[in-house]
Amino acid sequence: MIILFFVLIVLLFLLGVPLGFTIGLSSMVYIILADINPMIIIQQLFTGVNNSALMAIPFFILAGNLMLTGGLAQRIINLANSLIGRTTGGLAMVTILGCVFFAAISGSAVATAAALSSLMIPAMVNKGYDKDFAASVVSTASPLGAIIPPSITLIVYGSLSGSSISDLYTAGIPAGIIVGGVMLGGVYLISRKRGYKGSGKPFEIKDFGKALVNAFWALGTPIILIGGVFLGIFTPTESGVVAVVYAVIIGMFVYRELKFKELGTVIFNSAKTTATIMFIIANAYLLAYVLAYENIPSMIVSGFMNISDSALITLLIINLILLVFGMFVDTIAIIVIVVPMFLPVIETMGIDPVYFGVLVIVNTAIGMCTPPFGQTLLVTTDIVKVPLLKVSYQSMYLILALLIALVLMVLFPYIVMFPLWL
Amino acid sequence: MGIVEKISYWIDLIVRNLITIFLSVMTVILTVQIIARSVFEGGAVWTDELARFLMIAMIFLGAALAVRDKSHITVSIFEEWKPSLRKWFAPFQWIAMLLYAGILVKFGLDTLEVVGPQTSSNMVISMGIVYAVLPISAAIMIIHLIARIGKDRHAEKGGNE
Amino acid sequence: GYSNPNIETTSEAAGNPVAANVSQDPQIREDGDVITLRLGHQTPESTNYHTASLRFKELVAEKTDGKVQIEIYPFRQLGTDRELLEAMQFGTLDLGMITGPAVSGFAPETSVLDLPYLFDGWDHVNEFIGTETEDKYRAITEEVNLKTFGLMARGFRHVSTSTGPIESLDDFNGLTVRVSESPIYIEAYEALGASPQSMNFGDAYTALEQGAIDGQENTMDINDDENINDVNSHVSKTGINFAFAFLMGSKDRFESLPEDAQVAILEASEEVLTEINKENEENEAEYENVLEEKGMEINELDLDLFKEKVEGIYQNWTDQHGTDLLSEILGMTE
Ligand code: NA
Ligand code: NA
Repeated sequence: MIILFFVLIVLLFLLGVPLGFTIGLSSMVYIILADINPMIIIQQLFTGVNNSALMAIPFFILAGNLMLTGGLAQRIINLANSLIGRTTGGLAMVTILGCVFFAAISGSAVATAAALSSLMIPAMVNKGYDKDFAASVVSTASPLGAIIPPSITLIVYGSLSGSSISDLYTAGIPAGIIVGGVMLGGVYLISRKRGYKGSGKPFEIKDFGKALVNAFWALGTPIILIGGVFLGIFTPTESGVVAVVYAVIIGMFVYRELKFKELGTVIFNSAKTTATIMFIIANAYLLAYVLAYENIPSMIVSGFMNISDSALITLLIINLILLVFGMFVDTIAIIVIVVPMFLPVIETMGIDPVYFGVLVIVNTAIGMCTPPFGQTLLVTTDIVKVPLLKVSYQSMYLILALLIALVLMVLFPYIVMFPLWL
Repeated sequence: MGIVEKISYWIDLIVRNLITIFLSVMTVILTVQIIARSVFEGGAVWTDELARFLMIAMIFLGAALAVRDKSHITVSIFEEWKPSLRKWFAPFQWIAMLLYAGILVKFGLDTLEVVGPQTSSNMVISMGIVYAVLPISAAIMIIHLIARIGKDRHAEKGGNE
Repeated sequence: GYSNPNIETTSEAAGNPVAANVSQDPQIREDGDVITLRLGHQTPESTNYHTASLRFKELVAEKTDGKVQIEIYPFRQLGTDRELLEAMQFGTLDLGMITGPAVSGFAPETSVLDLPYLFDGWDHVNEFIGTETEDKYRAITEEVNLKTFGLMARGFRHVSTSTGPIESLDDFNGLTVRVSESPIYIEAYEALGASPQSMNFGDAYTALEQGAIDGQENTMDINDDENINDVNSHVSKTGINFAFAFLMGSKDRFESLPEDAQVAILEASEEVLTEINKENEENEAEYENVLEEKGMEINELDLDLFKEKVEGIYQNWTDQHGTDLLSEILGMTE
């Protein structure tokens, strides 16, 4: 019967049934045919999203959208532009650096993708970049939003694994810088080959100074968000709420670009985005129930324990599995469902769960831009109206760059863990 | 516009406002909670629970709304490759969503009888109220799906595709 | 970081509602003559919940000559308390070891045991367990399709803080304390002037670590298990609540079992819990020493002032549920 279940999933997926319905309906059919009390369907759907840590999702998505509408995102882009806009591949590199900066004020990769797409893709296309390449840069770089704190995924991982979220945040910063650095290099090489020119304007300390002053309030966000968590003023989940309030205040009263009458639309759009993402998470819980019924997770885990007792090989294999899952499954769904079954393996091997968390976050961040399913890939392709596979094709080299960053972190744990291990 | 389409329209209007209000209320009560705790060493214990339940309602009502909007996250590889496939796939997509919603209504209502007497741990309200959002949202999905038939037919006749 | 409950769980896949081999057949699985029942709880394998579950499993197997086998799913593999109770109501789960206050959401009158300063001490608790009053108490859950086999007495819950010891009501005033989800616990903390906070334990641990909240309340063994010593300096023996866990089952499923299996379960439950309750009583002092060795300061305080403050909560409770059960429990020391 499990075969019927998988056939049904693949069939519905290929027929273009929305993802939440695909995994939900297949699981429901299984539960009914297996003669399990169907009330469990309702319970699992409900339980999947009845989790306080997941409240980070709506708040960080809303905060990101408010930062876009309120002009915080634009100022951050201007700052990045004044830094590296002049070089070869300038705008593409500004996009990456903009993602790094925006990631530090936003907890959501989806919100990062939405903001950077609307600000940078038109600008790049104007400058003669291919549309699908422009989209692929945003699609592969915006997952930084989930790596650099604050981060929904780090919060959810922390709450599930019991690792300290402040430790995760501490290790997330170097991880984000490494990923951002590798991406910058990748984009530079591609741009040089394709002849994407920069603005050519010489670097002016005055321009940079002006951009920095303008971005002052936007740059205050990470200090408040991360500082607030470290100082114990609010919990990591609550920091999403603080981000919303801060973005409203700066956007409405300081930058005055966020109009009161726009507020309703921004909130509505954020609620809708949240609903479509979390609808998949709820249904993923149902799917997890069916997999558990078939003993699949414990088969995977015991399979692992037999392969090797080397921590490195285990980590490499787990990463490979996560990458494959990341192609098809939503990030938070992976963290909620797949990660807990690896945790016992990790603990047995004596691997630090904080380090493992960082690897998982970087890994699932790659999943956001790998086809066929990825949140940032979907957001960017939707905006440029270019077929998903065309954007994915363009993303190939940049995804390779992301993989290089991941492998570096697997081989040399110290490069992300040094702030904690010093 | 048929009667079902009218109902679908009005329900959608209400749901749009509801999810906007829910997210706003979540923000406000948690903001007040943070201030109450960090400044006044006070606050209420029910805020987290209320915000969580509002989020759950927002998710499932929002999912119903997204059925009408056709904004559910979908990967349509084949349809992108050959747009002419769209009209062959659409009925299957429609049936799958209808089946899903139907199952949710049926067992959602059954579940309410069992969880009805259960109370939530902080606000002490019936869990039946909280769980009710699932069958309600599923029922709205069904209305939107039925209303869609009429609309899609109009679109076809008008040659908008 | 706080002691990841996963650390203790190495032998079985753990940590997740899905990690285990969850077979939720609606019918009791009969493999030849063997009946397999599943027991879920939400705590790690290092707790007395798990020890009690293991011994129960062994004793039931022994009493039925291996005919009844129990599979244990610790640490939320089948869900948290609320979901475990719900699954027992649905009949998709057979057995559970459930934290006391969670049950009151399903059968409100069981909250009598959540009342502050209900028991004077372990003697009072021991006097209650095994009496007709306890039978009456356990019967409360039957009307919601839950069968309570027995009570595990876990010990007094005390408040730990990072802000110094609690020696008076003044020290308690305005203290932000993470309190277990129980309306009656919350009422008590409010009546005593504290500011109870409701958050999941993961967030609470980070909040304690960073000082976003001042303290939390737990039994001594859990304080040790969760490494509260890493985030708090003092445990003040406030003893506001006495903590119980319930060994429970789905009533329908229980009644569908053969007579001899039912008898074995009831007997095993009583024997195991009697034994473990005695150990829990002895261990309470042990864990106090362990926490002191880990660097925590443990202090006593005059509880009479505290007790005065909570009288109104009794009034509220009897207004809703009557006085019979309460006065029987209270009367035991007189
Ligand atoms: Na971020
Ligand atoms: Na992907």
